[in-house]
Amino acid sequence: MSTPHSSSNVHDRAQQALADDFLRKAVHFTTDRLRNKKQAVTGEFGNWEAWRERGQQIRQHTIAHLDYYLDQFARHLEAHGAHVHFAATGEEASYIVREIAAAKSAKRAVKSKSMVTEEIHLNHHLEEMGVQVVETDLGEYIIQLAGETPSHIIIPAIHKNREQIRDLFEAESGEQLTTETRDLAAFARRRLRQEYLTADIGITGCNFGIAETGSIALFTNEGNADLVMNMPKTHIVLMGMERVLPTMSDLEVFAHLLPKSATGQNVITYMSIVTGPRRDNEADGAEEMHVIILDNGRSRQLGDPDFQAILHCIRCGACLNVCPVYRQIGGHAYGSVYPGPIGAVLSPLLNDGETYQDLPYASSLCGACYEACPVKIPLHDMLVRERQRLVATGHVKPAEKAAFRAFRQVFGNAGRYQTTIRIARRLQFPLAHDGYIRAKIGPVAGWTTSRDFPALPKRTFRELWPELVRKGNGRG
Amino acid sequence: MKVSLFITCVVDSVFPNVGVSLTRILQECGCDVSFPPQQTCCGQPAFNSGYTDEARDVGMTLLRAFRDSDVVVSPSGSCVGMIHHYYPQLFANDPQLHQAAVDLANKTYEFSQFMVKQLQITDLGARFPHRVTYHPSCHGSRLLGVKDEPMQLLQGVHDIEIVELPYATDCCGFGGTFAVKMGEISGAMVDEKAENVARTDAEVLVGTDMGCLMNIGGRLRRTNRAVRVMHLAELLMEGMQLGKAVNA
Amino acid sequence: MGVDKTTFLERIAKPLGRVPGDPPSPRTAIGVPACWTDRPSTQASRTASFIEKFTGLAGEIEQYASVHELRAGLERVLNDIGSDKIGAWGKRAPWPIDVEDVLEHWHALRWEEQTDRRAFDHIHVGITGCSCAIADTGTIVIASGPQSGRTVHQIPLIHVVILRESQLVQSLGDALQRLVQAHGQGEIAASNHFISGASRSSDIENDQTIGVHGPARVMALMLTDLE
Repeated sequence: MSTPHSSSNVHDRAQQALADDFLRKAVHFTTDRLRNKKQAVTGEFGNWEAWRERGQQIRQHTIAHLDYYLDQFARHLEAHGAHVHFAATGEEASYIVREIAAAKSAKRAVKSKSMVTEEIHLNHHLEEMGVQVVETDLGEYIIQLAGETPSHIIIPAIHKNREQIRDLFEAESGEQLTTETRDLAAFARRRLRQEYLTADIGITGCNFGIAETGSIALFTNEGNADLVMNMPKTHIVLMGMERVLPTMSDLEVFAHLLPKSATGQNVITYMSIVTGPRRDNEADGAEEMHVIILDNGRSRQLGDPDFQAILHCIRCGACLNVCPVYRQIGGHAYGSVYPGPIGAVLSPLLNDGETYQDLPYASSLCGACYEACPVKIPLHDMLVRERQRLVATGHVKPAEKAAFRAFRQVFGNAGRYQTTIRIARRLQFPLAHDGYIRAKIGPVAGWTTSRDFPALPKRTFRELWPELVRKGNGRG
Repeated sequence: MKVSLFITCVVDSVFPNVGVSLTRILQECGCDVSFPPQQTCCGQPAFNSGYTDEARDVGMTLLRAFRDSDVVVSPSGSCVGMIHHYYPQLFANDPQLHQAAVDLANKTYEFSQFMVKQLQITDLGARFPHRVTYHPSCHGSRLLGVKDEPMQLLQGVHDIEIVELPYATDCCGFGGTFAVKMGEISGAMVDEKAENVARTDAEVLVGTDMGCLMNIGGRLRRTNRAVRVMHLAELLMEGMQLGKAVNA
Repeated sequence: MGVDKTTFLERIAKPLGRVPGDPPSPRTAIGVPACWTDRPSTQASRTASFIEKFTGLAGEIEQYASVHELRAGLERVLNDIGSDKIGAWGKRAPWPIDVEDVLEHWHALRWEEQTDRRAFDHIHVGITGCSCAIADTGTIVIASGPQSGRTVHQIPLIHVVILRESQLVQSLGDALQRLVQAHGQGEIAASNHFISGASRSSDIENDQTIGVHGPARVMALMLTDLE
């Protein structure tokens, strides 16, 4: 799998995205729709802040005692006849899936949408061993045919138009199709139904694991997860280790928070609660159920006061829908499986090395993500802390470091500051016209490429102050 | 009431008239206004870029400047937000400085917040017969929680026509160093913001943070849109002068 | 490959400053906030809310005052649909209302312990009961069982649900508590489906379409069995 934006840094990828008019319009339209619906549904629901507060409390408690709840969850699952596996890394998780596939002599697998399987590139690993994997979420199916990756957590094919989708479906089937949504969806239903019927393995993610009962809760609007886990003989669940909730009572909170935050729906169309494989007296449902619990960099955040709360995330995508940066550049520009504000924070935390180091800078720190987050994760603060970490470990450009050293020198002392302003006022003379600077030079080019910069006026406020105070005080 | 001004580096060096307006309004309201000259900047540019040591040294100028102040008022929700939210943690390692940071946070107000919540004034007798749209700054509204106060002050202005800005709460793309470091993304954001301002047909764009207004204004100017960009204090001051002239 | 559970949990407990297996600190905040539990709930309000939410999700609902009328209603519904490819839960499934004569009349394919799932691949209409329905969200709750196969309501384009008004509960939480009880008694179903309206997707240019994988129509026939 490759993405169409495989350039190495966020600048280049953003440039590509900014030049793509369809993408930008589609992202604007989709995020507008989702956030307006969210606003309407939460307004009607009422007490939204109390729900967010409760969501945060539950996630905080769960993650702070994660070993306990995971243990309880795993024991209950096993008591219901499921096999539980633990994987420290993505490679381990993929290996476990491949072993199960090999044991079942599996040729075909169907999948419902799961970000964690994207995170570990599971499809790629399975295809390497000759297992054909078919995505069944309509959006995922579209981008799988296109050989791309999701550009939104909830609406993966946000960047594809109906003509492109028709072409992909026609190329796949040899059938002639119209661009009517109904026809395209009907084609997918027909086509994917055959896949469910012939698949050896069904792979799903896990929205929430319930420790109290050992259950997996899966949320979809299409109903594809139900078919994926019930029709093939073997059901494999991939879950990030943080996805657990203590009780069914807690699930009620998230059954409200998740769909309302994600798509502005009052309720998800299908919430399926699976508690083990089919019982002995049942004629359908998977005969064997495997649950793989994945760490993959998550435990590194535990005990870290700056970042532990990132494990509270429920992957609703609400932060994408309100993010003014995501709005301009879409998902692929982030260059990581998780896009938007959550991706900018999470990707550098889960992955060592320099690949995602520029993501924490792809934010204006406006805080819209925090305001939208149903569990109140302070994403904007985390972005700053990631920048602090990069500075502390020397992962910044020397020029930037020098600039802030100068900033400290100048602004750390009022006298030096005043002197500097006086000098700057003289130096700007050749650049300033009509009170503004337009020259695209040096570090300010980022600014002046798209906007004018005001020139420094003749006098600073502090130079005007003596006159002001003489005239003014004691009037009112 | 004795009030110390925290003028912010952007207002001091680039938009002194905002400080002048702020001073005059507070004086009109009977405040005894002072300007402790040791102040420079809240340190936010460094802090937001991850340079905490640098931010701390710069922030020290404010701790020193306002040590003896009763109340501090500033024409920037962003800089006040910085003091409220980040100073206590920024100075957490030194108990004395930490206390000074907490004290400063407790006595510092953004201009509109101070007017409405402390002075309880929303009608300054200002008159401003123009079509005006308002951009709420992200840090002021989200970080500091100053959401309604600027509009309350605008609604207290006579003859003003207030038009709602589409996507008002969307960030303008300023974000301090973000505007330079991620210039292309920031440029796209401010372009959309400027378009939205233009769509309102407002004569004046008003706000409470000069960082954002400098950004949007810079884009409006680059695209030849004749929209006047004003800080809320400037609009109110001008309105008060007109109000007086009319009533005289 | 993979790690053993003990090692995995130790790696979690250690940075949290916990001894693995230690019980959690007491919880102050469990489940929904007070604003949600402190609501009045009467049979009438539950019924009204269920109908509003269910139809709001494009669900179709018919109410009947007697079992006799409900059976006649089911006949009529099946007549209107006009398909003879009908599947239904088995005779001994937990039907809230006996509709056997109608199912026999239509020669419905019945789900039994020994059913080959493939026999149901081509049904157009699936008829089931439900374990309860939720007023707050317009949700039908169905538990899987030996006579109530999941296939019956997942495969067809039309899903017809038979229920009694007295099966309505107020909240999702009320329905979820039943699962906890069932679990306590060692009887939790392998699969519990919470179905709210028709299968839907907006993945193609944000244009909502129904019946992508699951049923495109969900019809509820409800017996009003309370005053």
